[in-house]
Amino acid sequence: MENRQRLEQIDSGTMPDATAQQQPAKGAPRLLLMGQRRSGKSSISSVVFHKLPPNETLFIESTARIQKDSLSSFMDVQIWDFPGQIEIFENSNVTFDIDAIFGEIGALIWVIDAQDDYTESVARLHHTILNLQRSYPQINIEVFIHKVDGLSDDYKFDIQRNITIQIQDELSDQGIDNAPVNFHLTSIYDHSIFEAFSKVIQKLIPRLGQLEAMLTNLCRTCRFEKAYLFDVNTKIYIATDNTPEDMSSYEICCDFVDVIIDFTEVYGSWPRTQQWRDRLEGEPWDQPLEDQVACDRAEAGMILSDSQRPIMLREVDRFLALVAIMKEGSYDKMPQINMNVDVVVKGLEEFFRITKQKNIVEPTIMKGPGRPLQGGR
Amino acid sequence: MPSSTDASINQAAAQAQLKKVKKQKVLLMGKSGSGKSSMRSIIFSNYLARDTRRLGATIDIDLSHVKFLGNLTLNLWDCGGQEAFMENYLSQQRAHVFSNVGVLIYVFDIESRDVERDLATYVNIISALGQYSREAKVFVLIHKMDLIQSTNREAIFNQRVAVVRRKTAEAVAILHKHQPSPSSLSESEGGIDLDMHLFATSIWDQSLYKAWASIIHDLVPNLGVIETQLASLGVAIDADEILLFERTSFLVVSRWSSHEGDRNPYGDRFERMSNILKSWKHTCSKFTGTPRNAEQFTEFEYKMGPTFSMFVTKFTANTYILVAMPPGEARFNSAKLNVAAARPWFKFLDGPPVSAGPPGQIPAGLGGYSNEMGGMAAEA
Amino acid sequence: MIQGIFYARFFPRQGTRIVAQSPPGCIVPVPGVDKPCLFDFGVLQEYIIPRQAFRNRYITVNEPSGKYSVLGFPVSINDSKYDRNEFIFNFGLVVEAAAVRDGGTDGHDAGPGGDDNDQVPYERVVRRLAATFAEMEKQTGFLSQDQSARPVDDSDGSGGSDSETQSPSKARAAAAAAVRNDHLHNPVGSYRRRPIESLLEIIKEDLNNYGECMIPVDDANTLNMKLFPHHATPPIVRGWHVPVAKVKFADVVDPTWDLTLQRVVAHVDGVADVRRIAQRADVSLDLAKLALRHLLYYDTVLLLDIFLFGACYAPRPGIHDFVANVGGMVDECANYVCAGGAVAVSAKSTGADDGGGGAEGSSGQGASGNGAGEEVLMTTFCVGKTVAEWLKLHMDAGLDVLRFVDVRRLVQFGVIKGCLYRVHKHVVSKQYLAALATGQARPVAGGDPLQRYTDGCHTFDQIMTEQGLTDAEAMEKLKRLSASAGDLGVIYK
Repeated sequence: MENRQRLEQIDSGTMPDATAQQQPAKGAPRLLLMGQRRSGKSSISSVVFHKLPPNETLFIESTARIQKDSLSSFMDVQIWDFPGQIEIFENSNVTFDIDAIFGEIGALIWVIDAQDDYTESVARLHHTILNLQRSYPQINIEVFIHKVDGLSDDYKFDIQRNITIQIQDELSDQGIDNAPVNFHLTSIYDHSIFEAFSKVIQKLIPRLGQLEAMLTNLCRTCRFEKAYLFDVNTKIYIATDNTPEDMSSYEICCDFVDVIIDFTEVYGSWPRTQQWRDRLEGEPWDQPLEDQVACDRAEAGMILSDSQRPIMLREVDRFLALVAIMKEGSYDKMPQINMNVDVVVKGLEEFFRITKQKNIVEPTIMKGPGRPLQGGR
Repeated sequence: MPSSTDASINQAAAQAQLKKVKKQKVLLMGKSGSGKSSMRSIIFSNYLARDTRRLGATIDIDLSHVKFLGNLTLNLWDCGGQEAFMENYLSQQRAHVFSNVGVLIYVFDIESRDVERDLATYVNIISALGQYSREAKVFVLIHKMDLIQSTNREAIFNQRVAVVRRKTAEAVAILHKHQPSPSSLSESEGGIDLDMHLFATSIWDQSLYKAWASIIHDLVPNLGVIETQLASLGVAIDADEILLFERTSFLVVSRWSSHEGDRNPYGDRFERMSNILKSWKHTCSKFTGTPRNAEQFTEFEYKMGPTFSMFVTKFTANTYILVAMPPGEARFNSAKLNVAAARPWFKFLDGPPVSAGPPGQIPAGLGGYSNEMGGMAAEA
Repeated sequence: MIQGIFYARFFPRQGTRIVAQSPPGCIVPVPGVDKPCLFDFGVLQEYIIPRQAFRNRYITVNEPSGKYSVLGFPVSINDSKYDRNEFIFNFGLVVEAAAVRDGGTDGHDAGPGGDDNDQVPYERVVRRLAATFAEMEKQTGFLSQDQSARPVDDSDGSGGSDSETQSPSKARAAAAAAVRNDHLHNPVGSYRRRPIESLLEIIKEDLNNYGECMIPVDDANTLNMKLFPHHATPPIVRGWHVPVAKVKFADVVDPTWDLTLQRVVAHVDGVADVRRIAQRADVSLDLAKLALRHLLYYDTVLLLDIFLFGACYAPRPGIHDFVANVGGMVDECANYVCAGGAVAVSAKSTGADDGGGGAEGSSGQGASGNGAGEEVLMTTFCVGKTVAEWLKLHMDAGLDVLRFVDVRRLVQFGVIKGCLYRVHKHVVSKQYLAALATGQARPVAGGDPLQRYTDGCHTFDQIMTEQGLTDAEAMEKLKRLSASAGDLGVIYK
């Protein structure tokens, strides 16, 4: 509910100047969500950025104004949700400050409802791309072919092929080749929407290659099957190692993060009494709780019964967590692995301190309970 | 560290009263399409909520024997709710269906358009139950709450609760008039008192686990023994909270909280943990490709810096245990060892007790002196 | 005889209900019909729409009193388009239960083909109804789209807010009207369809009266059904079998019959073996066998052995019936076997009158002339005595059997009536058997054509017909076949 109120507080899109002031920092990349009415834009942003359970998106009312969300994480991203009925390029009554909208845009996300007739949406998308190509050729255009849950695999890929061919044909008719247009099959009922967002966000990260190299190195030294660097709040992964993409390991890591967030909320988000603390710090321990722990950040591990594969999680900073699926039987080597992970986590911190000049995030020592790793709701 | 002697004496006494295997007849009733089979499949057969869309209608009565822990068998009578069947249960099969019932679970569909008629059927069922099994407990689930917008849920639920309570009271009153209790006690009783509980449920969230944990709770044999021993264990390992889950359904069988643990503001945390762990199990099953009802994880630990630590682990053959506790590496490791050591004390959860009680005591003293142990465990 | 026919459906709200029935009120009561139902629908409904495991298969169930059987084929079509993901229906028949009708007193009311209370012919009907309507439902939603499909007993008591189930007792009339209206107002795209109730009635009437029906259900589909009497698969016909006609073929054969059959039938005389019939009719042996199997299937011929004077016969338990003259068997025999026509018959009949008592009293010894009695003749067959020897025995005893009796007919009568059985003659070679057992020889191996018969599995009849030899010739050749003396043995069994 809070989320919705928050959405409502956000001001209208007809006043771009006001929003410009709100921007936390110039240079924060912006994601634009566009598409036909009822194509699912608001549901997407509610599920991804406000952790609304997918089945509750039924109650979301259709968006009448531009809604702006900001994601403050390892980097600040703004998400602008454009109502489907607003025609930016063809509205003669209201003139949009095109430059304000597209000037600092990181990516344009175009949502197409795959369960509906998408001819018009594709035509409008084509029109939008043409307009953008003139002045902002660097903008990534990410097409989400949405609501593909319940569609057979064959049908999904047919739709994707159709749309891809249509767009490419029409663009090349206009003499535009190599426009940065990417296609994703998405649904809010599974992890595909998060994965698609991950891909979109990753393109906006400066020096992504370096991050990936660090993870790849970690996987090699610790014999991990797959490692992800998660943005905990959105479950978007901002980097992974260089082994092939694997949806199923992304899913399990995603859900692992979810479980940890829930545990944190239930047991870690309320203050304990002083007596409790006094007792624990008294006999026979005689040291503050902070010194009794081995690691001052959240760390978690679990072992799958099947083939004894452990999965581990380590908090990196306030927003990020490292999640890795390990090779079977490596649970015994946890101490060494932990040391290696420590090193990588320090490296990651360093990385973000350097790449993020403006909004310096203090290294996260979790003093007050519940601040980090806390769920959105 | 408190001495464990008192605790172990209590346990020995408690263990001596362990009861044999118990069978319970559980009727699951309600109008057709109200979601009876769906919830049954989710709780006991590891279905995902969205899988239940594929279920067909239940024809007549679907009987299943659910083994819950080692010494409780639920004879679950999932009764198809079509009018034709309902008429049948109330007439031809009346005695067969309604006698020896331990628990009646009656499901109302919140979306039903014909509430009056639903209530009429419900009253008939209650009358039949009062006639044949007056000792039975009644659980009324107001189901499909997810279809109501969350802001209105509580109001609508309360409204429905009031109606159901009124109708139940009416039914009981009529029953009492027509069938005066044969014993002389009837006057002092002042009527057949129905042990009734109401829950708002939805297969899409944890509310289902809350209702079912409550249903199961009173049926579990030797609950007193479990609670005593869980408390001893909790004190011994310095925990803040312990939850004991049944292995397949992940329903909370029993729980214990320390003084501090009781301060937890999340009153719904027990069913929430059930829900989280069960869906985690599904996630694991999807990843490993092993069947959903197979065991999916053995160990789950989480240490949140200096705030708290917790772990979930396979406990006895039929149970998982969740321990939430204060931070501290050494404390954590010794708690894990102690939980492992306490397993024999809970063996009776897996079946009828063989002898009076297992030998030995809970090695509770370990908790206090295990800095070294902790270090060793970390290195091992 | 179909007593009732019904169409039951599972409704997601009401449960299992009858949608249509014929005659009205036969399964569930309807207003205006006082006749009691055939059985209590409430008791059997769980077998009419059963749980998943019993669906999509043929099910018969006897109602509790045992008077009727319900034959059905519950079909469930799984599709997420249906409420509760399934559409379940059953077209069922009610017929008399198999056990109660042993007297055969009601035999006259059995329809054509339905010889008596045999339920087997109805199974095809039930299966056909299920298959046809299941297919029509899958293609066009024939059953689920039928707006008139309401439970016939959906009375006011259950008239809830659901508009679908509002109309109570007059459902059928309204339904018929609706169908008609629908057709009138919406000529394009709607096809003429018969209400299922009337369809059921026609099916029942036609099957009961004509044993078949041909009913157009809509523009594209017709229900063609026929009650086929059920006969067991006839035994294999061998070349050495002798077919005997059970009906007068001359009377029933007509030019539309199969040509081969016509030619074969002409030579069935009760004497000729199949091989000879094939030769005489100029038909290939296999075709002749096939033709005779058809006749066997329809129970118009029976198969005997070749009659030889060198063959042995022995009594079977059925001989007791003959001696006791159950059902006038002896007279029947006399009529059949007596040589010399009317004189002999009259002689027999008088002989039977006074000779019957005499035969019993004097144990047949003193019986002479026409008073011999077939009992004596019949009972004196035994293992190890050929017909020729048996004949000689009686001739020596002063009974001129050949004068009074057609011996072949006597023997055939005995065999047909189960009084006698043919004692077959088999030949066994120890060497050959040993060779077979060790795998040194194979049945098809070259060499002497007779050798393969020496495994004890072949009768002399077979050897003789297949090799075209007489009994004596065969014996002679077999003797030559064996290398060492004492290897071959002849077994009678």
